[in-house]
Amino acid sequence: MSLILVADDDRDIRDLVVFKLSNAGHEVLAVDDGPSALAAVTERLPEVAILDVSMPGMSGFDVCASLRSEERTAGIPVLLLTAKAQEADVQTGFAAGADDYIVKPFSPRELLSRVEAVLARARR
Amino acid sequence: MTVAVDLVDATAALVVLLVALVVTARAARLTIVRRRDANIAPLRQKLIALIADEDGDALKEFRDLEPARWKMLEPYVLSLTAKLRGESRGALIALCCERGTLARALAASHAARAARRAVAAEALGTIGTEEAVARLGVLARDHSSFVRAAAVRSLGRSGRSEGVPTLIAALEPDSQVPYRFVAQALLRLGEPSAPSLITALEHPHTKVRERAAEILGLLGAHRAVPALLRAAGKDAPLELRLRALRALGRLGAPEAFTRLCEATARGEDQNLRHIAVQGLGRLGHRGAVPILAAVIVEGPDGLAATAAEGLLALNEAGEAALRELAANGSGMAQLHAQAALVFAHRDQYRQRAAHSLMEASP
Repeated sequence: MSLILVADDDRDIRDLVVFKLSNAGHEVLAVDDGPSALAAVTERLPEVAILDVSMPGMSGFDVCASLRSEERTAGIPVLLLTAKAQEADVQTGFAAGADDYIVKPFSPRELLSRVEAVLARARR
Repeated sequence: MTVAVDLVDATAALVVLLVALVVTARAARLTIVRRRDANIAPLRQKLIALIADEDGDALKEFRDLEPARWKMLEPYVLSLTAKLRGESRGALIALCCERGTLARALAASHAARAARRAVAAEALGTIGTEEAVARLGVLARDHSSFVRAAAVRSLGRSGRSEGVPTLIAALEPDSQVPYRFVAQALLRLGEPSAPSLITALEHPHTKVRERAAEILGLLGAHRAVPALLRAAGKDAPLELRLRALRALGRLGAPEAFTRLCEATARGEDQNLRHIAVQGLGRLGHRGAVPILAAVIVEGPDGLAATAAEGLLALNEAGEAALRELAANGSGMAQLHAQAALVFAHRDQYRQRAAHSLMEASP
């Protein structure tokens, strides 16, 4: 069982991700904005963070860059959940330090397999 | 005097009445939304759980839901469908078809009121069956601009390549659909729209050719490179050349090197030269170093600054050329090269400055 952080301001997507990952046996910490995501990692260090790119106030790119800038959180694998599939946006995501990205609309099954792949890579 | 006072009183009363009306309407709306949310909350949780399990059979309960409750839930099911891909989306679409949502949207797409047709278009885009896409093709030519825009957006959301010809036709300026909506829809459909966009580079209407070139670049459609090279030829209209060259630069296509070099020539249009210089930076071709260095020397300033940025993108060879210009260049060329180098190494300079300040402080 792994602790996974999910940050998305869309309640439906957040709940779907929580259900899917919980059913697969993971513990999920769900928040609805960037600052809450950063606050959550100060209390418990997740094994993977799934961040929505377009959150009000602080984007997923910003949260990802903040995680990377702190020694304690720099190693957390980050998956970006984004409606922006254009090359430049994907590049921005990788430049901010993301490990992978999932394009919305998304398939819950695909999301789970991507999370499992990122976890497996991190454990190697 | 009395008339003036009466007029002020009447205006004030009218303002108070309007404010009261707006507040009441908003409160009523909020109550309705809250009541609806409370009513669908248990169904919502169940639906989310079933979707997360991706078990289409488990949706049976929703097939048997009494019509009044389904009517309440239907907008929510549609909004959830739009957020999903894969089997879960397929299961929700099948559920919507079974519960008559598609039939109702098709019927509503013939309604007299434009607002109803637009809402129907949104639902048809979410359901995205062949029948729905065919109807959206008709709605994209509706007499209401509101409906046309909704139909175009929905075609993009449908994820079906059958909608591409309609969207290409909507690139024509007389289609009166905002270009932004059409471009976004084609980009949303992704790579399947590339073949039709490539064909559109030969469209009789210049505006369509220009727009197709731009979208192909944004799409990252590498297979469009030969067609874009033809579109960027010297005999093409300037605006088309501009957009085709920008697309080639975005694609980072090595085949575009010669075309981009040609476009940096002094006699060419300033905007075209600017785009070509930017493109050469993106291409990362070492052969661009002397060309960009020459642009820095010849100017004008805006173009020289872009060329200096382009050299930085060419890594060691580019930086070596900048160092040479910074040391031995003359006038503005030397300044542009120095500015680019300072920008590239700003962190280093910042640290050095901070260190000097620390040492100087008592």
